[in-house]
Amino acid sequence: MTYQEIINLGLKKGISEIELYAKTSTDKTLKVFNGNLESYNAKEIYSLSIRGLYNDKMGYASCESLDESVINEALDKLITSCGLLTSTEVEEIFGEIVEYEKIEEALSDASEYPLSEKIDLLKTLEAETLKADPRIVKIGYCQYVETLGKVEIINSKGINLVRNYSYVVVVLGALGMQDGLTNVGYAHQIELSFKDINKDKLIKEVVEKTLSGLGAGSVATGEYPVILDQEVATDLVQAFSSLFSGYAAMKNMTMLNGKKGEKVFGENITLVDDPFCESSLIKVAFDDEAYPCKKRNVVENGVFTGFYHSLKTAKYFNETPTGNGFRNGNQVIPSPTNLYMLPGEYSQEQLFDGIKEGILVTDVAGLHAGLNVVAGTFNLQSSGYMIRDGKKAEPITLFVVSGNFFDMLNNVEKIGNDLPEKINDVAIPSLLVKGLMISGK
Amino acid sequence: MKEFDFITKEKALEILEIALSTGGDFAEVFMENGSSEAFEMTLGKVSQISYRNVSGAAIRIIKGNTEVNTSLTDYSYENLKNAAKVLAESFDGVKTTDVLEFVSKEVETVCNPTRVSSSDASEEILLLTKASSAAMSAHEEIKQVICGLTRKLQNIFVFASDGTYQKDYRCNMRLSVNCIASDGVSMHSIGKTSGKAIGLEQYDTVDVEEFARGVALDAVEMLHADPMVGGEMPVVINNGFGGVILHEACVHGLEATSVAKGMSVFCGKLGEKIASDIVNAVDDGTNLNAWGSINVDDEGTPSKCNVLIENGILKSYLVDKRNSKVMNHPITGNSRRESYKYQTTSRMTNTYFLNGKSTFDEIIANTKYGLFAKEMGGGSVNPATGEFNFAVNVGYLIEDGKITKPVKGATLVGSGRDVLLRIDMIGDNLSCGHGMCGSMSGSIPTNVGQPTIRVSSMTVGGSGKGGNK
Repeated sequence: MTYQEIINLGLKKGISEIELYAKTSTDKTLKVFNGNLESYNAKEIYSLSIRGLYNDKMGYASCESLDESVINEALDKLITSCGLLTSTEVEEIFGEIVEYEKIEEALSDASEYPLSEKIDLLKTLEAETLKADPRIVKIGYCQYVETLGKVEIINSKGINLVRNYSYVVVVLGALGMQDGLTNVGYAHQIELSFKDINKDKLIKEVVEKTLSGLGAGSVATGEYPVILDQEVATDLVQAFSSLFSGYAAMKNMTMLNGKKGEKVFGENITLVDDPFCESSLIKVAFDDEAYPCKKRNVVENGVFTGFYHSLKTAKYFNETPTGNGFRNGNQVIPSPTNLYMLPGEYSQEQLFDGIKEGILVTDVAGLHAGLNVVAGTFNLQSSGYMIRDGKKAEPITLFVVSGNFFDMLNNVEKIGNDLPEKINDVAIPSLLVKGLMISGK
Repeated sequence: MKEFDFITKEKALEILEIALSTGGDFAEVFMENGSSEAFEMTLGKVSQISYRNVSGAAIRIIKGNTEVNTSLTDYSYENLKNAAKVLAESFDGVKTTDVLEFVSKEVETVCNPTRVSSSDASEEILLLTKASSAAMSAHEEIKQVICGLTRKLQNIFVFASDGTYQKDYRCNMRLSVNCIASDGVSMHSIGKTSGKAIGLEQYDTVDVEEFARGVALDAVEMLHADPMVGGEMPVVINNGFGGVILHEACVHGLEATSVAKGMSVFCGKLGEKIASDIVNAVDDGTNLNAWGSINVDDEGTPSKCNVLIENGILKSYLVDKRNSKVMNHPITGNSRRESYKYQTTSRMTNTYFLNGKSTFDEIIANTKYGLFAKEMGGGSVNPATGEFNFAVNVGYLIEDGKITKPVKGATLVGSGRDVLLRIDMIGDNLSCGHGMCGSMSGSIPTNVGQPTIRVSSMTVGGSGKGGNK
């Protein structure tokens, strides 16, 4: 069936307003192991999400085929579900004609290069990483992915929009071994153009990360000044980013409820949500509800300026939508576009300055388990380095870094100047936090 | 299973012949259709219902050490033939392997759903209402209750050049209860699930209200608990979901995905001691109607009970067809994938420590000081280093052989190589918890389980300062 036929069928069945969200994605994944192409995977996945108002309730259904029988079943399920909903939140479908920000969609050139060239790149990455140091014994992950995607939003109120995205990703993971002890280091690069993959940079990074963590010891339990390096600070803020969502606010799942306009973090913290971010590979002019996106400081000098909103959560709080209504499966959950913290002036060496004994955290694991987002607390498996007399010292591992997200961002003493050149999704510079609990031996 | 009848044996043969035409050693087609539904209730009101129809296929060809795979949403006969042809063009040899005669194996039914849904969803809504009401009225500090019921129905059909020709029907249903307690100053959330590989009939024998009330009271208890003070100490891990320690600390490292590439600390350890003598562990996909059970795996191999650790000795890895050749290890019936969108590989089913000889009371009484991890959350592991973590959702201190005050925010970390050797007491109260395990082939239902165990020493993390005493 065509989209228009689906909309017509829905309206005929008694749905008063209907919206289609179609996503087509083509992925090609190559993996090399021990000098051989281990795996090649080509995926072409299509999904159609339908939502519609029936008796003033919004129903949701999705499918992966445009066959009439499948569409019929999805529409019937949608209508049935509307009869079962008892919550009173009002939902709507967007239909205003607005000027969207003009965004130039740059498309990846990856498909212009033959697969053999990409396989050769992986084989070279594997071989040269192994050659770099005898302590590197295996390249467990040597993977290339190219993604080409298209999002279409069509509704019965006249919206008909298309958004394309594409990128290539290379991931390299090496196993290092010394005196029977192992360490794994990873490096990755995301680019628009295949030719921008920087082989030497990837190898240098993975070798450094693998070798520097070898022979890591333990650390004594206690409270230390802690530097969260750029990637760890990013992981942490990303894991807690739902606290800023109107969905969490509506469900009473965030401590930020009722704090709009209040100072919630230190004055040095400004968080920007920038859908048009020049350096990002994912730039968006409209969200998944067709509402126009806009750049906004979510936190400005420590003051919380308001939640990300979808149409539904904005209506619930009687506020204006912010263009952050993005799909998460069938649901629309307000979430950030490109979220970053304004960087500080300090290089990593300057962050170390004056720390007699402290911890540099370079990796955290178990972000889905070791934090209670609602409570704002985290207790995470970590690895990194001791800082002694203002310098990076011996590697340490298997310790737990613990704290409270709000306390942490109220106790940032210095902010690094190392915001990545390219901002994709979330990017936070390195942070020196006055004191966090470290559990070890 | 009429859904796949349009692929007759002749057509299946034709598709596989095309796939093998350029010299592949093995070719396989996996087809599925079904649906995922989710019902959500917020503070007693039905707040979201979503329905997802899933259908598609994956074709793979293995030649030597290379696997090529394609996933597609339109699995008409013509499309499958075309996709097989394009995929076969990845190789440039000539046909060397014949398709063996198709045989549908007689499989013992270990999952037998009888009531996957009620006609008007009234039973599903009633279940959520019961759970919500019980949790909401459990305590005045319960400020939010979100209950969910998910149902995944999946028809699969897999045929392959080794003669595999297998169909199956699966139902996985799970109830979740999430509660937030708040005293106006701080908040704490706890969630727990109850699920099986059958339908609504499973809740005939579960006291849903008691289950939900328990989650709510845990949230209140943890709201007021002191933060755990970290350090090294003995840890008693409760039965049920506590088995996540085996799942993370060990068995991810026994999956062929890691072992075949030499990226696991348990490589080359078959027949060697990897755990203390009292430790016995299995991965058993045949537990009747259990959350992680499967009649056949996603390669069409019937599931079985695999003994992983016997009296501390490593007995088996978890191995799929492809890695069986690489590792020269028998196939264990563990090849699983979230859907046709993922390449199938070795994964867990129901993984648990077997009962030991101690009683729960003996284990507590014999512990002078330590942490009692009553309810566990999730965790993760890096199989190559064996370093793992998991969260303790509900914890208590043990002092002088008695469970004393509640503590919150404890995280356990360690190395898989050490922790299994440090298990020094095992209880006699085996039970299982129901999780979703995310890994290379997507998110799949797995049971984790154990009797109560004691680890003589572990690193416990927490934000508490000073001493716990």
